Amino acid sequence: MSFIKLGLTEMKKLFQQPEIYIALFLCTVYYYLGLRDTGDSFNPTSGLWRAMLDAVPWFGFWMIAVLVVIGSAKCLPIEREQEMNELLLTYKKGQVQLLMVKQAVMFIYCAIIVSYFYLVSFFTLVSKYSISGAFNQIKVNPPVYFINANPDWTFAQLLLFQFGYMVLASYIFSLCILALSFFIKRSVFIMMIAGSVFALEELYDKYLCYYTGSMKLDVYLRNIYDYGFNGMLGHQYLEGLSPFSEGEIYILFMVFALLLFAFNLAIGRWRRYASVGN
Amino acid sequence: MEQNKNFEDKLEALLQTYPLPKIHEGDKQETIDVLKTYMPIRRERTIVLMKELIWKAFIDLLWHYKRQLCMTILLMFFIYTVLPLTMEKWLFFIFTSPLPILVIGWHFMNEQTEDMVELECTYKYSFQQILFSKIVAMTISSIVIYTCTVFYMILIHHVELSLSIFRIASLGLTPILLFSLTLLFLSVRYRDVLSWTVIILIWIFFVLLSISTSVGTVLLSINYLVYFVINVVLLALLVYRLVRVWGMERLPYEFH
Repeated sequence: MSFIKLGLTEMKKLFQQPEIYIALFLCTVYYYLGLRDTGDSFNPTSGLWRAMLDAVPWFGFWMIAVLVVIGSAKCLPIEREQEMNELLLTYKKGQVQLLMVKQAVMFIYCAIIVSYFYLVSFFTLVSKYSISGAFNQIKVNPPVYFINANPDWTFAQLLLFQFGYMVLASYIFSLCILALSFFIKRSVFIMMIAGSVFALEELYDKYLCYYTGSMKLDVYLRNIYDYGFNGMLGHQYLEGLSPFSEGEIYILFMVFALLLFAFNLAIGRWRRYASVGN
Repeated sequence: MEQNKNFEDKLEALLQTYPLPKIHEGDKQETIDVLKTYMPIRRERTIVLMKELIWKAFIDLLWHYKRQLCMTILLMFFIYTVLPLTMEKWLFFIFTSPLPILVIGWHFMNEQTEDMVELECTYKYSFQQILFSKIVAMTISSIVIYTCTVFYMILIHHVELSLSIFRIASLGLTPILLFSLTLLFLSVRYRDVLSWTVIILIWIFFVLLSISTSVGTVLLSINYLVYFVINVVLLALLVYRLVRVWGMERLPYEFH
């Protein structure tokens, strides 16, 4: 019961940040603008569902990443910035439980953010396409970013798969930002580092790669992009070069998430002992 | 009656016996000086004070952020020189126009800690007047830098001073005015560097979105008169907000 209570308090603390609402408003506007030319209006078969599947790996994951960065950057430093750190050391349940709750709350936050953007794309695209065709097989109008997907799957199945994939990928990204928070004191610098790395990689993929294409450096940069957070959120793990099947990707991401979860707990515990002088 | 008169005479005789203290000329002057400090101070004309403060803020801005400004300007000119003249280049040109205000604005918000604001409150000028002058100085600096970049583009690409240049100039001015207004709003309402970082982050992703999707093409294809009207509205709003800030007794939302 205390676990749920603590979770609700942490959730309240997270959603009281005004920056999240500033970002949510602007990202929604941008997502809406970007969605206007998504999808193939000449082939309207299951057009709505195909456009929804294509929008996320094209540019939808940027909006999700921005909100994950903003939400995660302040999650741990919030107590330190409000000078509550010493008071928290007196918390009878201990730092570990608090960290567990914070990480669980971040999972819920990621799921909410991903669901929100799926809803935005649904309501934006429903005016352009017919709602029918969710249970058609994807081979009738194959989505651009799922070249390896089983053609017998239906659009609803693939959409559910993509939703789960995005929640897991964004949660891994969020856990990495939480890990960064143990080493950087101010939330603004955490946000700047995480956001800049993500944005620079995207700038490389969308623009700079045309200029570095002939250099040997491009091979390394491409690998960093493909196997980094950008590739993870941008569905690069599901493309032709990936040695994993769809099911294996889920297991791989879950293992990643669990390892990061445990790593953060260990670091948090160690830092607590360090702060009390043991 | 007789008794009262006698008493008054006695009292007068007694007071006459008291020695009068001798007042030195130096003490008189000191008293005058002390009293003068309580006199109302002669107030300068508002417009003169505004000019003086803006000039001071401008010098302060150039001195304190010289490194950041130099790096930003060099980066901007490097991008313009290296990239070929394509649509993306025009987009980069427009999107990098508020770069000075974004960089200086971040430092400006970062310095507005509780201690710093308390210190600024002890200055000769009010906190609102300092805020006003800083925002005006930042906006003017950005516009000056932007104008220089427009001339640079004309110089390197031999672009005629035609309607397209006017359109590009109007387009780049819009983000500068928009960010000045946002900075002013955030400085008054919500004084936290985190909010400005969020704005910068979202601006970067807007640039990416414009390059990757048709949003950029749409932005460039809109008639320049629309941007001209938007700029006029933004400028009017900025002036209105600045005048309000100048006239404020105190900021409505104090420190967190």
